[in-house]
Amino acid sequence: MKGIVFVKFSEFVEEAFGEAFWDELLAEADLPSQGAYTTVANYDDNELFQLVGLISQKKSITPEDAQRAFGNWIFEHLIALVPEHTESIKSTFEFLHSVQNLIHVEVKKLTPDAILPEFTFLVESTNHLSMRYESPRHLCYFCEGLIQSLGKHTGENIEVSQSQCVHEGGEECIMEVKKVD
Amino acid sequence: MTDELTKRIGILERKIQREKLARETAESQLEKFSRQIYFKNLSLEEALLNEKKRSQELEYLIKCASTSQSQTTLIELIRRFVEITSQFCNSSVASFSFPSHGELGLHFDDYYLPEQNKWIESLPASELLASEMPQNHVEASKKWIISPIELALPIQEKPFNWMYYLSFKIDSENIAWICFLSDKEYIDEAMLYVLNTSKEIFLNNIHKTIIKTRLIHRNEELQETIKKLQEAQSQLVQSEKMAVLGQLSAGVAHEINNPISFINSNLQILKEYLTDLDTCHLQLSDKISLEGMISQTNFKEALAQIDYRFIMDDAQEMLASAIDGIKRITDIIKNLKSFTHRGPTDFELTDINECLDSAINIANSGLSSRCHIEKNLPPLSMIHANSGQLQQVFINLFVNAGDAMEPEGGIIKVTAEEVNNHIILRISDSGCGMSEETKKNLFTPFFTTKPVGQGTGLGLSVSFAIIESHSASVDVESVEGEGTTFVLTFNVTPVEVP
Repeated sequence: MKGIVFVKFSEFVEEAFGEAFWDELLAEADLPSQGAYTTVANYDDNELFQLVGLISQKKSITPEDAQRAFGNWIFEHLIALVPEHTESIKSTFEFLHSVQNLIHVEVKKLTPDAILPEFTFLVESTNHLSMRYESPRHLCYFCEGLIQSLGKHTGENIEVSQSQCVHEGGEECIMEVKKVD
Repeated sequence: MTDELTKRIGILERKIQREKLARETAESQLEKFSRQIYFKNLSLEEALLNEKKRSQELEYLIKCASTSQSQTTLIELIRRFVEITSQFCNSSVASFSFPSHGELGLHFDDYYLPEQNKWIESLPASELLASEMPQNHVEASKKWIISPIELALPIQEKPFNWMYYLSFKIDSENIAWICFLSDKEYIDEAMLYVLNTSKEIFLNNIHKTIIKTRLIHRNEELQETIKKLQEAQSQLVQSEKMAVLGQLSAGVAHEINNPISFINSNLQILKEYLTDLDTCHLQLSDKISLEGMISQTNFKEALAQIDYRFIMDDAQEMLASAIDGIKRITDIIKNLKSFTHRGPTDFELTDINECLDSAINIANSGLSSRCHIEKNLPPLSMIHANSGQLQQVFINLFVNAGDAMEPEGGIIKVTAEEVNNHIILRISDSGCGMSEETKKNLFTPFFTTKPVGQGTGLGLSVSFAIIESHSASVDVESVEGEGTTFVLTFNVTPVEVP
């Protein structure tokens, strides 16, 4: 996984629980990278899963909520990296389409070995979008958090849930994104 | 220092440690990236260079291939190849030796300087170059030969280090040479591969040009033969015309003799009448001299004595008959003249009716008295035709019909109709008809059913050629023992003038 995710995760934890907690987390996890993350390197996915697991243990929150919270937090931080595009994000549904059809395509060009989630748009109306989320990392809760934050960015009142989830015995993850007036 | 502070310092120290480690990782990663970029750049530059070279090679090969489209002669083709190849392989000077008739050995007379893109003649290098070539000039190498040399020429100070040359046949005996001189220290091996390909294209172009030249030559010969054939054919048509005329000559002579003999006897009688009139005139003059005058009775008696009234009436009749006879002869001669006249082969608007009349007049003179031609034609549209040639066809058909009806004789019927811009002309006889075998060979040259010495066997084949040249068609309907009908179909729309 890209170093940027880990760097942002450390910032997120420090912001949410303080530097001491992050320090404690790293001491306990004893990771191969020792938590010395940089955006230009790649790290093992398991480090993130391990850290999320420890947080949920220590803070008595579910790993799903931890992922959602991180997704929610990171969206604005990622958008801030490309300020020239911030203005163009006006509609949640439209942006989700462009993630699949434009952003992921460009990412693949720059980083051919990147592992990216696949969105398949199943049903769409003015206020409802149903899409399949497929990724070998199964970070569907993180994705939920990202979409919630996207909704905040566009100023639309968005509710995200999963009608089916692989973590709960489903065959696939189906995201239900609703605009609420 | 409180525990809290110590703990805080510990956290920050570890954080600094991590930051340092991260920075080191980032730096080493960046170093790796820049190395990658550097090598990528190098390989890109190399690829670009290769691509440029490849594009130059392709451009050169395309130029080689396209030379044969624009160049016509072998020398032009060779000069162009020398120019583009010399530019491509950066030789300093290039030349060629093209065999001239009667001269042995190699003659490098023209030199190409690629840098100035011009040909010069005044380079005293022919013998020098020839001496570098193999002494055996009779075999074409058909491949590049590269040899190291030490040669200096007045065009540049730097001596030449390499010479590459190629020889190839331009006909069964003669060999042409092309040669390039290079002052480079080394010869690029990759370039040799390209030169090998271009050589194949060049030799192929040379081969094509040789074949093209031969074809042009052969074509000219063929044109000449066709011209001779056309002349022979035109002579044949004329000969056949004369042969038909020969067949007709006895009858024609009779036709001419007839009026001549009665004109002759008329003139004899007129001469006698003149003598009678003169005698009468003398008697009356004598009487006037003696008696001073003559009585009306005497005058009438003198006239009655020579039967003056009869003489005058008869003379009128005989003169009219002679004039008529002379007209008959004039007509026959006029028709014969128009028939035998070789004349221009031009097509002009022709009336088939008039043409048939003329042909019937000539044929009638020659046909036996038992044969008659009965023409029953409505007015027809004019067609583009050569009337002399059409007459020849018609006379030929009439003569054949007359022959077929011998010895009983009969009527040759000529009818016509005009349908859908076509004139359909039928010439029928009630003669012996034709067997299938005869019908099959009808238009074959030299085929004849007539006894030896009577038919040339060319009449119908010549007629057929004439009909074809008029874009007309001919069909034959024949029943043995009943007769034959020739059906000629002419287009009314103007035919293409040959």
